[in-house]
Amino acid sequence: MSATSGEPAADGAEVRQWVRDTCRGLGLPVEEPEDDFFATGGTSLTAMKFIARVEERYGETALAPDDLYERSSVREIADSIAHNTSASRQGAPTGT
Amino acid sequence: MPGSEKWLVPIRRTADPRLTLLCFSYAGGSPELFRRWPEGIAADVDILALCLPGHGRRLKEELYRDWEPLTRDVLAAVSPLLGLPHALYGHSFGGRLAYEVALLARTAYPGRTVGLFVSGCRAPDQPQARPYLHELDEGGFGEALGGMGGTPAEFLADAALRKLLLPVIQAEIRLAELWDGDGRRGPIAAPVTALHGRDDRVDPLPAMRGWPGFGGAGSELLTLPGGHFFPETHREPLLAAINARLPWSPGSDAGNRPSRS
Repeated sequence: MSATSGEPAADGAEVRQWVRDTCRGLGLPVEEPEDDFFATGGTSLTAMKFIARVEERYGETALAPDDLYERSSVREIADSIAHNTSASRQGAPTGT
Repeated sequence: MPGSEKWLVPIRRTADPRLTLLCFSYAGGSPELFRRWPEGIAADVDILALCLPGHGRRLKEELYRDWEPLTRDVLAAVSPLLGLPHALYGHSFGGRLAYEVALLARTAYPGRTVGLFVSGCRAPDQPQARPYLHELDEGGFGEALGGMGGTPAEFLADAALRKLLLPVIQAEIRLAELWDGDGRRGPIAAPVTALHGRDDRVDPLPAMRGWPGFGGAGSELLTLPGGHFFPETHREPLLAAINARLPWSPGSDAGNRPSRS
């Protein structure tokens, strides 16, 4: 399902908090926005678990695996999710 | 990103490797299987793992349904490595794929493959055991995977994870089960080392016994401790067996290995 009425608004600060909490729930000791998913111990299995959680909360297109691997700090991950969910909610084409 | 990059996950790169060990994981497995392999493989051997669609950053890419495009695309992706001395390792589905790559490399890069290592994988002349797992419905398939032991229970119990992972495992098990090894295409020139898990009920000893006939001089069949997923559960003896059989001077010929009785 795409991110529509059922999903929460992807407010930047809130998404960042959610990313941080979810990473910590998966055992990654992230604290700061610049802390990195993989540098703190994330593996491809952790990445799959994380993407599953993102899809449950923000919808299936909220985080492309490539984006997670390319831009993997808490801040960057949250930015990707916020960008993708706001684009789909407004029906706008992706890209800026 | 350039073509080959997404296909290959570097596990260890060295400045001046004597050879490259190219690794293929099992159905649904990931390059993660090889993360700790540098601990057991000589320091002058590069280690790379193949990353197929459905795995790692390629999680959402379209999955392969047929062997011909799969082997063609894998060969193209790994060809920069195949021109240099290399050994191939694969487990189960990955063992079949490693053998297919070795067959293609036999023609395209003669003499460059110095060893093929296959574990938990039926020999090319052996039929697939029935019934097929890939024909089970989702419930039965998940149950069968749980029984095999290679998929963490937390993955099978979590609906969102099942939805991501099960189609990938199912597609790769389907390829593995439908694989026609066609024994007439062998042997390859390099020695084949077949590694059998003593308690493996998926690929028991009779299914693996034929492997040495598909390689050159020095081919052998070894039995190691563990079940079908012994590369996960008994990594150290597996790495010791592989490391002892990697040739020291791959530039000369594949027979130039430390002699063993």
